Amino acid sequence: MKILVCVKQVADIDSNLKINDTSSWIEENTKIAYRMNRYDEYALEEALLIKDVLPGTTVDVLSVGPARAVSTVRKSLEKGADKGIHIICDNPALPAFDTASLIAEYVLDKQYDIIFAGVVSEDMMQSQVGPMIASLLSMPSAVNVVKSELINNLTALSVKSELEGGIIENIEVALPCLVTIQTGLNLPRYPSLSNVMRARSLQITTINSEDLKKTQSCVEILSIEYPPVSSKGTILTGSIEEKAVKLLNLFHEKALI
Amino acid sequence: MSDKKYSIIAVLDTIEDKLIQQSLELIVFASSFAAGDLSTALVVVPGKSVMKLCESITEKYLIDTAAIEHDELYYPNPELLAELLYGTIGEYSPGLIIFTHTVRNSQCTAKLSVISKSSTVTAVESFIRDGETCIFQRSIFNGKLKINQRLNALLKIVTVLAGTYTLEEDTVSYKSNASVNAPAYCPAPASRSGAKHYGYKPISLSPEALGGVKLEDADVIISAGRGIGKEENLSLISETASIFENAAVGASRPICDQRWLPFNQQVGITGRTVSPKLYLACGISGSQQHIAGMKNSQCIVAINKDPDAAIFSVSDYIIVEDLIYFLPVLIRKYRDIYEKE
Ligand SMILES: Cc1cc2nc3c(=O)[nH]c(=O)nc-3n(C[C@H](O)[C@H](O)[C@H](O)COP(=O)(O)OP(=O)(O)OC[C@H]3O[C@@H](n4cnc5c(N)ncnc54)[C@H](O)[C@@H]3O)c2cc1C
Ligand SMILES: Nc1ncnc2c1ncn2[C@@H]1O[C@H](COP(=O)(O)O)[C@@H](O)[C@H]1O
Repeated sequence: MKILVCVKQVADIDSNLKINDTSSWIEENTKIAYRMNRYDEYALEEALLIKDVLPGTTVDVLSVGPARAVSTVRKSLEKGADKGIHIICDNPALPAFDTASLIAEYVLDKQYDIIFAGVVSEDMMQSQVGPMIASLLSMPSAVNVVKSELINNLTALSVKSELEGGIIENIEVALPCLVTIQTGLNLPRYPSLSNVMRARSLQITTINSEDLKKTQSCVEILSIEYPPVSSKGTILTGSIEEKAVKLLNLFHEKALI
Repeated sequence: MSDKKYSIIAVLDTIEDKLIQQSLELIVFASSFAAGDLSTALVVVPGKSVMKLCESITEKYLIDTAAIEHDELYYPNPELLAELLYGTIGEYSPGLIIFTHTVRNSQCTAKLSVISKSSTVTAVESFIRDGETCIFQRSIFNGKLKINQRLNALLKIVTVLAGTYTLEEDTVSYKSNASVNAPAYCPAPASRSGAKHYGYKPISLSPEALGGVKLEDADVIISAGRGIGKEENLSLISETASIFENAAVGASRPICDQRWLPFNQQVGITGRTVSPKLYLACGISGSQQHIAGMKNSQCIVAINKDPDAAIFSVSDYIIVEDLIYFLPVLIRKYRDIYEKE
């Protein structure tokens, strides 16, 4: 089985994000903690679980992003991926179609059986890149997958796709296909020492995005801004004890305690 | 099929030929986008046998409808729907196609936008129209920031965040003299019927697993988010719950993902929808998906150490504290004041 996992590096949301001078994106500085998109950690784990049980399986990981994104590719190798590909693109706020086109262009002649991606990126939140890659490559995709299993002599995946309200749809998708992974379907592993050592000797393939670029999307990112402060709620003030007592009074007034 | 042109097409959601009511919010979005004039808007209903449904929508909202029917649209099938939409709506030459934002519809828009070479934006919360150009606003970074995006292709495809354009009976302006067409019927092209060549085949639906605590029956829900930090800290949540008579412990998705609590305690769009008398959110940031499941609670109190947490925008009472310190104080004060009575 030849598998590709699309992993994105994102700025950690708890890193006190500030908008940059031109309002084009967040200010990227050393105070920001960058990490792998959480959904992609589960996608990578799903691929590694197949590799664990199916001899001859290779897992490649690919990330589109600025120079910093190489650390996320490296992290994937440390977890057990075989090959890392970094498509260098300085624009951290690429519209979904552009990201998907770059990835599809790379994948075109690689003959992957399964491509895993996350359901959504925590920064751009588009839920588009995965299924767009699939469409560009004319392969079927299944999204929001909470369980997946190889069936029919490894020619198809049986997946459970989660709908709103927790309803599950059971779907069969023929390989080659793309699947977007929801969190929670597995427990992502930590890098083992031996894999960390092994990863050190692995070369990461870097490709300049300009060399892959064929088309450009018709989506323009104009600016980003802080949301309006719109809370109508009451802020409880005082010391921690005073706040606790105020809250208890409130519960008492509402006859809850 | 009529040869009428439509500027906006709204694609509703059905499961097993039943309408997902929330998708009617698209009519409100369409009405707002078209400055109240729904005469060039078309509602498309996909399903196996949905002409009746179309008729009832036409009658109720005085809006043109069209059924896209195919046996394999009985269950949600975004792959097939994208192909069928591409095949059938082209002749209406719409400028905008709208869907309710769900992951499935995002799959459909991704495919539709690739095959129709149009531009797409998902999870839109609002828009500004300026002549032909239109700027769409949506959240990024889990609601910490907003982004403004412009779509430049002739055909624009948008998914609209549920709950942002709510359907109140009087928000859609009816024109009593509006002339609406009888629902149009767009059967799937014959060659496609029953075909399996998409490599994508919905098999069945399974309802969510039930059992365990019934969040819906509790008067009070104390919910734990990633902010609790460690599994051991769940005891703080259950101890807090124990000061109430009829309280249950809920959670945001990451807590269930890590198996710290079972999935049936998850609140949100893919978990439970709850409306208790009190919802106490502890260390929950307030993602759209979580808020969708608890925003109708009678009273919402949130404890978060980040003063800008999005959960505060739906909270009635706001406590900016570290829950690890705050909850023990709360429990102690409760014992001091109320248990001694
Ligand atoms: C298709 C789809 C469906 C989803 N469905 C759901 C769903 O049904 N339910 C759901 O909940 N999520 C759902 N999610 C996930 C959702 O997008 C968020 O990732 C999730 O809700 C975040 O959970 P959280 O708020 O607990 O964690 P985070 O977003 O990580 O927030 C943790 C919060 O805790 C605060 N904090 C940290 N430490 C402390 C402390 N010591 N004291 C006080 N505060 C602290 C932080 O300031 C932060 O605000 C879904 C996502 C997708 C893509
Ligand atoms: N820059 C990127 N590099 C690699 N994969 C990406 C990138 N952007 C998005 N993806 C993949 O697409 C998924 C969905 O992203 P999005 O469409 O932005 O919500 C992510 O979970 C990743 O698997």
